[in-house]
Amino acid sequence: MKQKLFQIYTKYKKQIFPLALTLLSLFIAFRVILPQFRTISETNSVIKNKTQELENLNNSIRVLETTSDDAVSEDLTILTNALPTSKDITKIFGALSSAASASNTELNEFSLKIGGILGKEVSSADASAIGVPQVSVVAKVSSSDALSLIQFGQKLDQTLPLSEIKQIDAVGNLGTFEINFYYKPIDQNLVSKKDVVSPLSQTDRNLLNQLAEWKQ
Amino acid sequence: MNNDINLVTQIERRHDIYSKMFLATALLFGVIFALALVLTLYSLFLKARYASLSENVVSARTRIAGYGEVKQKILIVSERVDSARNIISKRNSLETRTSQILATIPDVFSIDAIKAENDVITVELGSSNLLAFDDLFETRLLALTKGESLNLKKIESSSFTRSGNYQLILAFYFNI
Repeated sequence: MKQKLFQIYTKYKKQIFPLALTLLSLFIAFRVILPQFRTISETNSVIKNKTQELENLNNSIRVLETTSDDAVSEDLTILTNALPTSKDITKIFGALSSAASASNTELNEFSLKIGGILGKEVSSADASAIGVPQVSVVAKVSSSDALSLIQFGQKLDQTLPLSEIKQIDAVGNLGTFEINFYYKPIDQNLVSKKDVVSPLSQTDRNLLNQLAEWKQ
Repeated sequence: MNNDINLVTQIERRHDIYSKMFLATALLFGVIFALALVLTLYSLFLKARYASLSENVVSARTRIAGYGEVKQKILIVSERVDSARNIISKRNSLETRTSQILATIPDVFSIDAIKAENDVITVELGSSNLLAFDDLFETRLLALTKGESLNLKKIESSSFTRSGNYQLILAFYFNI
């Protein structure tokens, strides 16, 4: 048997080497080269994402280094006045009184539909179309004329917390306003998970200035 | 006659073919092997680069974690600015629209009642001067419909009565 194999080898020696090299070349092409192309393409894509991530994080570091704690705390105070973290009855009463005083009207009474008080999730009754929870308030206001009543609404529009008048019903000198006051709880989980921070744009800064003017 | 004599034997010709075959396959193997080597080295280089980037990302995250409180405040501010902008831009401005309507009504009228909702504002007005109604219909309300800021759909008069004064109820419908 061994001798027979040796005879075959001697006879086809010159064909065996090229055949073996061709088979080896095919093996390398399919088992090494093609998978490497796929690996390289995938790694390039991952590197691109990682580079973008690193760039965002480095930008965030720059923002954090250049932002003063006092300035950001001031912005946060303005925005917490605009959108309280909970259903803040004191702030709502303050806004109604302030608008009444600025429009020469008198706040006779107001009632709130408080809804849920505790809980991580905002109840469906408090959810608004805008996606920010709200408290429904009915305020009764009296004035010398109807125009002052409308002025009360306009002043309330420019008072914090942010609100939206849903209905005005004025007869004579007495007006009933259905108002939605907005609030926004802080989602600590969401905030702590995020690492990328971006600076406020000029539009954001303008909005903050406007809100600061509207302060109660 | 010399041209007709074949000096190369059959065995030598076969040798030549085999040598060429061997050379060709060796060359092919060499090229493929070199390509595989280059690709493997490039792949290793990319993996090393990825590892280095990952280390930098971890390091950047650690640095950011050091700014914990400021970072948290900035994120809350950004989120609230977006929400505030969203609320302000989508408010129905009911009082502004009502005010614009009332501004077109002359002083000779008394405003007896207003009912304002998202899509319709109803105003009840009264006057002893019948001619004032002509002016209101022909001039004031016409001008109001031409203005585009209110986005008016139609104006309807639901009733016109006389009980002492003349009383008119106007309903202003909006495209929402």
